[in-house]
Amino acid sequence: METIKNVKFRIKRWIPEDGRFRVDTFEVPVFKGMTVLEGLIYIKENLDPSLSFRRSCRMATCGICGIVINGKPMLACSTQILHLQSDTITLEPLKNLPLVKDLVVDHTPFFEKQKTIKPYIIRKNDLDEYWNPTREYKQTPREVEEYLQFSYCLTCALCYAACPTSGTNKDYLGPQALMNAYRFIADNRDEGLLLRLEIVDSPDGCWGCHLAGSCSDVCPKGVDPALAIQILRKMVVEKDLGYLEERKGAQLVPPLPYVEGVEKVEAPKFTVRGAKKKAEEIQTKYLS
Amino acid sequence: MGFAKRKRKYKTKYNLAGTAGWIGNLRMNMERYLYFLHRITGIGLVFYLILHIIITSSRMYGESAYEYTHSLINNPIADFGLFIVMAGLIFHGVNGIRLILNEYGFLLGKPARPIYPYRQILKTRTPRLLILSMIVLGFILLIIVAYELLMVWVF
Repeated sequence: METIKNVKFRIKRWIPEDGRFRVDTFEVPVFKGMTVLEGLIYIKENLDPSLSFRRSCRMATCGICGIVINGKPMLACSTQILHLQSDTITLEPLKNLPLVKDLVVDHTPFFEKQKTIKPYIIRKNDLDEYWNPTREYKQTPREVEEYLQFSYCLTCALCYAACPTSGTNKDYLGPQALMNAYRFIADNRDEGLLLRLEIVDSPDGCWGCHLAGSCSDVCPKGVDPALAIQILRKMVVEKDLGYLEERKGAQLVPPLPYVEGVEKVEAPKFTVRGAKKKAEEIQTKYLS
Repeated sequence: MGFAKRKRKYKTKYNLAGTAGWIGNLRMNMERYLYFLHRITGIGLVFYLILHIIITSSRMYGESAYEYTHSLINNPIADFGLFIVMAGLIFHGVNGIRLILNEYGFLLGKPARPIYPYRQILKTRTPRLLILSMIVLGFILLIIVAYELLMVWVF
């Protein structure tokens, strides 16, 4: 590849042995189309093998390479160096998360908060079908569009790092968790509306948002958490006023008509060892 | 045994952005600046309220004390300070109307199928028109306030 220019990488590294930051500068030859992640890999291979950063898919699908580039949280793999139009690039680890080493942060608090809003379909009536699915639930294309935008989330924690409320309140659920709560509320198969609204109805939940809009601004997948949180708030108010009632989840599609000469395809078996046993345990626990 | 001795303690830190993170950086979106100004004007108004209570409470010590404290603030510089306070109040109020409307889900629109380049709801026409109309409303109120304050000293 033909080198276009040399770009300085100013990397703010967390040194866990000393418990402080250190700023290191590296000069990287840049070719056309080179991403920041490729620059980091160049530094690790040629200049400083001790540099730590996370990466996996290098195509904005896994969402692990999120770092603060020139003050703005971005995915290193989908940001081209030449598009930044500066000779010096400042790199920092993501804000609002515990530091591990150099550019690596610990995403545990972020994922723990996502767990609290129960990010899965909740069914209350047909538990037998829920644990041993035989058919799919009815869903029109319009009903899919209600939550499709929010299901594109990578859990890259960029919104969490950009949020000013997360920066001052450690207990704030964060844009991603609240957006995920709305994603499951908007799903017509779900029956956990009131349960989730109870979880997010707190100063650390949807009322902590002050509509700074940075979460939507930094999102690499156009998920728009800011919109989801405002709709969530509207729903909480509607619930308190008594307008909102628990919706009945989508019904199963009718069984396919029997066609002569076509054999019925068996449902796939449980591929994880012990999964069926555990599912049965949970099922008996719920039904009793 | 030796391993335990050689084991080093690794320090970690919850890297919270804190209050400095309110402004973000210079490449943030418009709503982030409005958010920052809303916070700053809110804090400023609380300080003004404390000052206002101190000044008016001087009436407790008799009429002469009240008139003395008023003679201290009866000058153009204090009135310019009042103008700044009023500007902050107008911004806080006008932006507050926008926030009340948007934060309860009004004038925002609906989720749509994500197609690249992705749409951000706050950058679509209706929320931006709301901001623009609030800027116009704010400037009209500011001109009225400036006129009222100038009337005292010029005319």
